[in-house]
Parts: sequence; C-alpha cells; structure tokens
Amino acid sequence: MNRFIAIEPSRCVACGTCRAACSAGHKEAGLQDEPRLALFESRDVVASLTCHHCEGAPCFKVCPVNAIRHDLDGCVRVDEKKCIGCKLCAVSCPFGAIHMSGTPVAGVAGIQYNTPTFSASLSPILQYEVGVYPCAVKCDLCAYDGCHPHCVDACITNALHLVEEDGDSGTPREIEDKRAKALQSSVVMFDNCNDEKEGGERS
Amino acid sequence: MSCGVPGMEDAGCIFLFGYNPNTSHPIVARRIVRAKEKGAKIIVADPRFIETSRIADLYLPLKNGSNIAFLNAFANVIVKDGLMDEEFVKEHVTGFDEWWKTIEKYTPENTKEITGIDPGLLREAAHMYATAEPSSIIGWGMGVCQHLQNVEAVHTCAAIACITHQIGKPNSGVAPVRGQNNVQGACDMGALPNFFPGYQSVTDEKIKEKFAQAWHIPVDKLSDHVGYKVSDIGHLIDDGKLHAFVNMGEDPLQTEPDTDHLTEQLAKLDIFICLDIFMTQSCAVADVVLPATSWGEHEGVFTACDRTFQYFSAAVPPKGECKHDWQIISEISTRMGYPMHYENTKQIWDEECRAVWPAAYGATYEKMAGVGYAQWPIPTLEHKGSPDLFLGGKFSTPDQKAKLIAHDFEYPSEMPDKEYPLILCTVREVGHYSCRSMTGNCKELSRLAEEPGYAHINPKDAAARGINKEDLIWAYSRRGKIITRAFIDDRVNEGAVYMTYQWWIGKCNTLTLHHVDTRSHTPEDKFCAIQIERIDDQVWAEQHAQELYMKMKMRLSKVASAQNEPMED
Repeated sequence: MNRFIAIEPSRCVACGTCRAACSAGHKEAGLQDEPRLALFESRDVVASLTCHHCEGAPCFKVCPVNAIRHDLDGCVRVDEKKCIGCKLCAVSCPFGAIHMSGTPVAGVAGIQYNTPTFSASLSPILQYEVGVYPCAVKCDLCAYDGCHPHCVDACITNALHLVEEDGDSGTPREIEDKRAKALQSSVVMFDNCNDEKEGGERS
Repeated sequence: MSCGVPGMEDAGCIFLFGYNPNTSHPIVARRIVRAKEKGAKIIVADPRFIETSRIADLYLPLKNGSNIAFLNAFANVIVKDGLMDEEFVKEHVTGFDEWWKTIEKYTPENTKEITGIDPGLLREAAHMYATAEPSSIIGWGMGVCQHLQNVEAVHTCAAIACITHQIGKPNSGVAPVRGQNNVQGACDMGALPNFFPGYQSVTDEKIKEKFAQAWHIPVDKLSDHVGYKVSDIGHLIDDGKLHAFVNMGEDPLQTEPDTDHLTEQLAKLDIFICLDIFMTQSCAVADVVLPATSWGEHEGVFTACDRTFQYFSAAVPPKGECKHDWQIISEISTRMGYPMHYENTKQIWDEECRAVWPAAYGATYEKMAGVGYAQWPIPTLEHKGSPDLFLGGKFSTPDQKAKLIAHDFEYPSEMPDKEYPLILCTVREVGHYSCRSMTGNCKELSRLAEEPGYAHINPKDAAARGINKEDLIWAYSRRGKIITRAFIDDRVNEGAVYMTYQWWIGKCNTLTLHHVDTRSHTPEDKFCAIQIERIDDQVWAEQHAQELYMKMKMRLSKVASAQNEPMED
C-alpha cells in the first residue's frame, strides 16, 4: 500500500495556495509551519512537489535516532520532537523533499530580530542560524488531521490529488465527506472542539 | 469587462495582452485553464514568459513599452488580410476611414524593430484571434494601463475587438481586469473624479438635478467640475492647491511612484487623515488615524471586474474603537454640516446605489443572499443580470455605434542608457496583495515570501554582474536606491528587471518615475531605467536588510502604541 500527493502540472497555476494551506495546517497543529511542498518553477513546467513516500525510503533507513517511521498507511513521517537535526535524511532524499526548519529565536531571549550569519545563496542544508534548533520537515499527509491533506483541498484548479490504494479508506464519497469534515474543523466560526478530538483519535 | 469571468471558459480564443492572471487573479487563471481544457486557443503577448504562456498556443515576446506599435500592426494585419467583419463594421462602427489612416502605416515588418516580434508570428496570432469560433476575448491588465500610452492602447484593443466582431456576442469582447478586489465597486459607486454613482457625469445638469434631489440639497452645492486624481496629489500640494487629504485604506507611500518625493510633499499638508486597519507607512505620518474594520468584520457588496455584485457578510463583530468605513464617512459628513445617517449597508445600497442608478435597480440584497449574485446592467426586479454587454452590436454611445480611435506610437518617457541600462517593470506577486498591509500581517503568507522581496532578472544580466541566485543586490535609479534580492529567472527577458511593488524595504516605488499620462493620470509604473549591482558583503547585506525591516516595524509600532495608553477620564 502506498499513498502520496500527485500533481497535474498543466493545471497548476503556481498560486501557492497549497503551500499556504500546508503551513497553516501544521502551524495550527503545533508543528513547524514550514510548508512541506515546494513550488518547482522552470520556464516550461510549474508543479508543487512533495515527498513521494518511497517504498524503500532512504530517509527512514539513515535516521540515526529512529525519528522517521514508515507507517502502516504507507506514509513516511518525521517525529519533530525526536529529530536531532543531523540532516542525513535531507541529504539522502532523492527528490530534495526534506529540508530543515526551526523555531526562530528572534523576539525572545533578548534578541530583537533575526541576525543572519550566512548568505541566502548558501544551500539550505548548510544554513545555520545561531540559537535555532532545526528539525527535518516533510510531508506527513496531514496525519494531525485524520490524513486529509490540506493542500489537496486547497488547490483551486484540482491539480493536486491524493493517490491512494487501500481498502480501508472507503468509497470516494466517504473520502470526500471526511475531507469536508476536516475542512469544517478549520473554519473559525464553528465550535470545532469536538471535530478536532475526533480527528485526533482517527490519526 | 464586456463578458463575464465564468464565460471566459466558453470562448474560442483568449488573447492575453499585458496581463498575468496567475499572480494577479488566480481565480481568473483557473477559468483560463478550464477554457484550454475545453479547447480554447490561448495567445499570450508579454515581455515575460508568464505562467499562462506555458499552456498558450502562441507566445509573442514583445519588447517592453512597445504596446501601441504591436497593436497597430495587429490591427493592420486584420484589415489587410481580409479578417475584418465588414458588415459589422458598416452597421455598428464609425470612424473607420480616419482610424485606418493611422493604422495603415504600421505593418508587422516595419514595427519589428520596435516590438521584436517576428512578422509571421504576429500574422498567425491575428488570424487565430480574428477567426476563432464562437468568440474571442482580449484580456489586459496593468501591462496596458501603467504605460505612457495606456488609454491609447485601450482604444486600440477595443478597436481590434470591434473590427473583427469579437464583441457584441456572448463570451466575447474586452476583458480589462481590475487591479484590486473592489475597484470596480468603488468606480460603480462614484469614487471617481468625474462620475456620480453609476457612471453619471458630474458636469451634466440633468444628472446634477437628480442627485441634488436624491440627496436633499440645493443643486449649486454640488461641485460643477471634475475632481482631482490620486496620482496628482503630490503636484497639487506643491502648487498650493491641496491642503487636506483623507486617505481611505490605501498606503500611497508604498504604492505611488517616487515615494521619497511624495513623503516630502505629504508633510506639507495642513491635515492628513488616514482610515486603515493597520499602521502603514502613510498612517505613520498622518495627523489623524481613524481605525476602520477589516474584511472579516464588515459586510457589504463587492463588484467583481465582470460587473458582478456579490454580498459578503461579517464573520466577527468589530473590535475596540473600530468603525465601518460608512460609519466614519457618515460621522465626518454630519460634523461637517451635512447630516448623514444609515442603519446598515442594505439601506445604503438601496438609497445610494439602486435608487439613483437605473442599471443596478434590480440588484436587491435578496438576489445576492447566500452565494447569490447580480451582474449589472440589471434594470428591473425580474431581470436576471447581464453577463455580456453590447449584445447585437449596441454600444453605450449616443448613436449606439462604436467609435474607432487610432494613435501613433511613442517611446516611453525614460529609455535605458549607459548609466541606467535596465528596464524596471513593476508587477504583482501571488502571495501578497497591493501595499501588503493586510497580507504582510498574515504569518502563513509571510512564510512564503518575506522582505526585502525579489527582483526577477534574466540569467545573462545576472551573470554579467556576478549575481548569484538569492544574492542581495542594490537597485538604483535617478530617484533612489534600495536593497533587494535577486531571483534569477529564465522567464524574464534580457535587459529587464521585474519587481513586485509591495515590499517595504525592497520598495521598487523608490525607483519608479512619477510620470502620468494626460488622460487617466495613471503613472508609468511599467517602464523606467535602473541599474543593479551585487553587494559584495552578503552577510552584512542580510543583516542590513533585517535591520532596516526591524527599524521600520518598530517605528510603525511606536506610532501605533499611542492607542495603548490607558484611557481615563
């Protein structure tokens, strides 16, 4: 069984809504708010790219502290709390789908604003910010929200799809219902405490 | 727009001229993707290989600032190659002979030097546009409007639609999209120097009589002349003609050209009042700031660029001392001697829009309830609204005929030279809106794009200056100098730099030229001469940019903190 996000590049309009939704979803769940999708833009192709959840995931194999697990639903996930920020997974990923992110210290500990000590043209893997404890971030298919990828719901042209082959997820109608429910739980006007609890149990 | 946005899906051909829907209006871009899937031909003419160029059937890389030469040659091909709908022109169009005298001079061959377009490609595009079935749409944005010859280009685009009969039938015609979400609505309601609500002239005696009656005031209380335009404010202050300025929800120190100069000019005002939801650079220099409500706190009606009225409701009640714009206007008006009182937006809508503008009479709140909408002209309660204008070739002129107007080509005001060899073109980016006062305060959007923003540069221009990807660079013109970040982009044409205008530190409007056209007074934001240079010490530059940003934020927050003082009587 495997699950991953696929994209139809001819439909992508490079609006970045998927990245904003990804950031917002993870932030709300208390995870790193770094978007898990990258927008690849060349002259002739534009596409959102994210983790392929490889069958023989090299990131999973190289992690020295078992912070990366290959879950039964086919998804490869990082435990942000366990990660030591060694970057081995990011180096080993064949698609560059893992990168580092950390909570900036600006605004706390007497530091007023970011004081970068490197040029931004430096490779993201080599970038090092004083006082920031980085951890690996990658697509977790929105495990925090019952595995309804927020990017798929957010895409304005339906260019993104959740590809899945499994008996448990039910009919397309049921998947749609689950997504609708997931969406509803992120709408501020409703009392969403109950929905959130349910989502938490499911995952 | 003469057609509806949803109708774009069913056109046979969409010709985008100086318009990048993917960054300005992703929702329109979505329609274009669907149109393509339904079999429409897509033509893109733009100096940049914009997003839609990827799915376009024809891409025409015209040179910056060559619009009129290009459009004239395009029109020339249509006439010379027999693509004109002669019957339609005879019945519904006037001024052809005069127009042709100018257009005749511009051929694809003799304009090639100016436009950089291969004559064969231009011919192919003209044929594709003119012969598409069932209809063609020509869409344009600021790539037309923010040039020296902006109104001229609009005249020519409209003329092209008229002579080919690609207007006056469903899903056809001209699609000038608007720069902001409710610009159309502001214009509809008379926030223009020459019109009352509903595009009714301020100099027409009969119209004045009507509004005097509606507003219960003597007719001589109404201004008898056309007002000023926002881009004139600086000059008017210098000339001593303008002493007070009420600025609603805009940050002119971010969005107007040559902002350093404008800052000096605004300081000379007797009183400067801002209505805003955040402390902006303009608010910071204002004498009075009136806190307004945000989009989630108020309700009202927006008009989309295709004339669709949509009601939107408030999600949460306003916080603190904030008041709705309409409440602020009412209170100011009352204190200035004209009592104004409204209970809610519905009352304003009924009294100030529907009652005085016949074409909007049928647009009731009931029709717009829920996700309902109403598209003007919608003159009666039974009317279903009008996605398409000018059906049957009936135009909104006194004789109901379209009048062709042609113009000769002129070069932009400030051409590149040895000292400033690059062309700066200001553009939009998808994640941030207008002056960024709203989206800049949204964490998720800041995560995707942050200060000092980017200057998009062709790889060759970057290589010639030793600029690497993500390097911080200086960009300077005759007006000023700023720090920005290099985005090396093979979609960008050589010799041009594209910067988005919402960055506070990498503020491209420090560089732009304050030169406006004589008709619409729109600044020439799409063309000025600049130079760029790599900063040698990148780490210093990174820290410097952060420092500048932080200083600005602290300055704004210090001004804003005045409201935090405990209020005791």
